[in-house]
Amino acid sequence: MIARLDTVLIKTASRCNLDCSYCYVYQGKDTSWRQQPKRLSIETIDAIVNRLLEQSEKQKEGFAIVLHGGEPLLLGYERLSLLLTKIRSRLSPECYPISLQTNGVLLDSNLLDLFSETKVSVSVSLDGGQSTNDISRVDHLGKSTYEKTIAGIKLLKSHRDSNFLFAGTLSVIQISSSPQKTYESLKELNPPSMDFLLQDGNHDKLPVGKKDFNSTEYGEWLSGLLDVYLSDPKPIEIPYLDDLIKLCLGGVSNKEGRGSDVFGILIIETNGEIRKNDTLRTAFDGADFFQHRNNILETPISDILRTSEFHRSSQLQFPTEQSCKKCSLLEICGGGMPLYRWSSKNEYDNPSIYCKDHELLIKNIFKKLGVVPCSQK
Amino acid sequence: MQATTVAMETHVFPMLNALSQEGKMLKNPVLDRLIKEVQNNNITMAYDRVHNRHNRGR
Repeated sequence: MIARLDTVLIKTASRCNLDCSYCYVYQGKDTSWRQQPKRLSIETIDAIVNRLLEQSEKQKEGFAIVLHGGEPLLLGYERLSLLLTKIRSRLSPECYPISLQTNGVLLDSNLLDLFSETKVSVSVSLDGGQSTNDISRVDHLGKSTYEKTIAGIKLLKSHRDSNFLFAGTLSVIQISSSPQKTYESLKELNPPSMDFLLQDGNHDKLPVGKKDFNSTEYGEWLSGLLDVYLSDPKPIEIPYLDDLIKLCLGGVSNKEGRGSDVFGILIIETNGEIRKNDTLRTAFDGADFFQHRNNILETPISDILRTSEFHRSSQLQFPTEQSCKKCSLLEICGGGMPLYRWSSKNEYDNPSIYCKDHELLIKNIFKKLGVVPCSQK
Repeated sequence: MQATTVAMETHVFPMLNALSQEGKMLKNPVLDRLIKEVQNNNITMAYDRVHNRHNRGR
């Protein structure tokens, strides 16, 4: 059976102009980035475009294209222009949305014009106000990057097409900063949305600020954010919480790692290698490799999608641990991202290290909704 | 606000809808928006699956 491709994530550059202390690419277990070309070559760009066009003819549903890194803008204007204009000459924004996740430092008006012409939406990584952002998001000299990122956001917001271009902010949760302070600092920028990520971690290496498996520091932080969010008369959308609330309402999630949907995700590295979900690389070096290390230069995407290895990697989304399979909240939390389940002893056969945090948050969502699931009485 | 007990496996939306109509559920712009999104789910799901993915990864 050929699986469906939902998202292809292209590593346009394998290096970064920042040196964030929590980075899953450079501060984790993976070392393979050192062998990658610093950015996509023209030959690899051509191969990627051809493979995407080929895949668009093989599946009737569209798919999302995400430009990622490292810092994706390190590819430079000329090659970004080549990549984007070639994709857009054949693939429409309606069925093939392109988005870019950047630290914002290298944004300039030429790039924004290019993104406007080729319909690329831009999300900027920023953890909150300056004191919060400075905890981890520093440059290679250890200096604050806050002002440079804010300058990038201001440029983005001043563009004539900013309503389309600016997708929002993405923050890694810093639990030492209060959710209210974080929310208010980000709201000052008036983004269309502010999304949040949990700190990386697993059963071998606990996330920053988490005492043990049963502790709920992140659940408490997120519940605080929920309170702030629901009490704001003019709220900024928070996809993380929206997804969980919609799942509590019987709806579906838009993002992997929540709910019971499986997303077909492939990663393309700067040398053209096709990889599994790149978040897996925090577990161990090589966790995101396919056995045959196929390359986009030689291998059609559909060949990967029909392999049992791709199927197995997608099925990792479903937790195997017995207490997860019996849990009444499984349809909502989805067992969390596989990377949070990892231990060297049991591999992915564990509950998420954030299990108790999500349990607390979901129960608080139900309380806000005025509903108590009967199995939780 | 009095909590209402529902079975997870039936999903809670029909009950929430009733609660909302009875004015028992917390009213605010976030929940109003999300309830509408869930109501329209069958129409928008295919679109949402490939859109709104901007913040994937970090």
